[in-house]
Amino acid sequence: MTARLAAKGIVKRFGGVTALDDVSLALDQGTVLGLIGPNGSGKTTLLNVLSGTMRPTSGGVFLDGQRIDRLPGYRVVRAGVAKTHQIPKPFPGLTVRENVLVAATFGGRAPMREGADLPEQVERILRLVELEPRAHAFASALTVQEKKRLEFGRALATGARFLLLDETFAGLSPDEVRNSVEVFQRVQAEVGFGAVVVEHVMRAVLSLAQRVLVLEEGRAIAEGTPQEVVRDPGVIEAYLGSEATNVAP
Amino acid sequence: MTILRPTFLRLRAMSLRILPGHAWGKVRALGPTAQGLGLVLAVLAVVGPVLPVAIFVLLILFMIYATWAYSINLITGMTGYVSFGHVVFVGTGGYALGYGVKVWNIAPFAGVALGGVLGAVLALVIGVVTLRLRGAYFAIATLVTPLAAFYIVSGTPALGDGSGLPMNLGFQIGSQYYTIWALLAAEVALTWWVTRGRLGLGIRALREDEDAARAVGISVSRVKLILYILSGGFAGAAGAVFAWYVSGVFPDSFNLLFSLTMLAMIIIGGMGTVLGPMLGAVIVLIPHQILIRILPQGEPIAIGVSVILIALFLPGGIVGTIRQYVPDARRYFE
Repeated sequence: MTARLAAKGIVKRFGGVTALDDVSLALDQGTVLGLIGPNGSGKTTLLNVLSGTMRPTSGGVFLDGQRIDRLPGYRVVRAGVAKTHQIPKPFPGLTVRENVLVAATFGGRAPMREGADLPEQVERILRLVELEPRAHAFASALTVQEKKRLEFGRALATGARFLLLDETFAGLSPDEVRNSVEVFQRVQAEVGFGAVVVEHVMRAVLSLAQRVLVLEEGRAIAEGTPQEVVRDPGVIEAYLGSEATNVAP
Repeated sequence: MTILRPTFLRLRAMSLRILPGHAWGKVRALGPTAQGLGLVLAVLAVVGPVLPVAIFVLLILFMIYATWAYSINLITGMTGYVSFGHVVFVGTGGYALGYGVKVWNIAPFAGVALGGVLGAVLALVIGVVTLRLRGAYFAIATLVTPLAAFYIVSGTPALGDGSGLPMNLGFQIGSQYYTIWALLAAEVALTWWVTRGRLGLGIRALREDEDAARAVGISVSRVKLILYILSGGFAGAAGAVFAWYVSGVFPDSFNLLFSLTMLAMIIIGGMGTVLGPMLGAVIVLIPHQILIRILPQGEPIAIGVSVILIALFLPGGIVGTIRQYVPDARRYFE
């Protein structure tokens, strides 16, 4: 049975501001859900709620039917939902390999286990995210793109079945975006995780995601396949504007 | 290092005869830092009783200081949380022993145990509240605790009001020596253990970036709290030994200068390392012994100046700097 990550009726208020207003989503392991919307529409807040970084004011997050929104953040990771940060946060004084090893060691269901497969798993992750040649470099010495791949690899190394990727492609050149999308697709095909992808780079999100959820001012205004969503008049008006004519197939 | 090596070899040859083969293999696997510290502790245990009393007494003080240095290293060195009010555990441990001995007539050993337990409990209470704060906010929040403790003990008749609890326990330097030796040995072993393997890797990650550590599944809050509790326990127990050593405990036990001294020892020696606190304790205590005789007011100045100089020019402390500039020596300085 494939795993399922679902959020039901999420409301998040900060004082008088309603950042998320009754948002629901669901995705199966192996599928990618794109999350788009203008700045301040609540995308990052939604990821923070899904990852256990923030507690929803009401509503719940469920992994395989088990409620996870009351768990501390590290337990959510161990349950199988890992988040990458918009600005990569590698452990700068640790080597690339150690960064991945930390995640593989602590992120699993049985943390600190003496698994003999651990080094193999770390090598596999390094190969998948193409950081093998940099394995012994300190993370502080990596380029931005490499740091983003390390962030991705570290989330993978936790063994998570669902990844929450916050603007993984932001700040990269078009070539780097193309390359990173390729890496993502190859790894996803091999590992088979599910992912919620928050993204401003429209081409990336439309080529990665099977379904897209559009947020505006904390409400879900549309959901569907990328093709459906970019044709939705409400979405075009709220967010895409004239860009829609460029991305629509 | 080349000078040290022949000594190591000779000691190795000696030990080969003392220890059976498999046990020696385990000792060798510990690495030079643990071997060296183990050797220092073994020598202290064996030669202590034959030393002149003046030196013996000084060694007790040295081990008390070293225990404090390792104690603050457990929280500040390991996690980067600057425990500015660390002296609160020292004073609490001292008062625990003082009260236990004077009022309940318990043995000083029991007083030390009580001091350790109270130090740990106090660390739990303070830590649950303050470890949520980051950086300077944690330092400031903990800074308040010894100030509060000072006024509490100064106004509590059962704790001698402002005049403290003087004790008349006689000259028990042998018991004091081995009590603090056991505490220090346990603490060095603990420090060595938590810097090793998976746990050590997790703690390094936590020190580097707490949010990222949480995001890869490390139970950050729990790790910090456990380290703080252990730290408070050892500081409390060593504080109790100090009260025993000076035959009394006074409100001045909560003097912030102790906190500064503890911090200075690990900043100078090398934060978060296994060897650093020991080196720092030696380096801080020697000028302390000299200055206290010729210029008592000079000590805070000397500590302050040396901490500033170290922080400016050798930010890794002695151990960190040697590791950075002499990569070959890395395995000797953990």
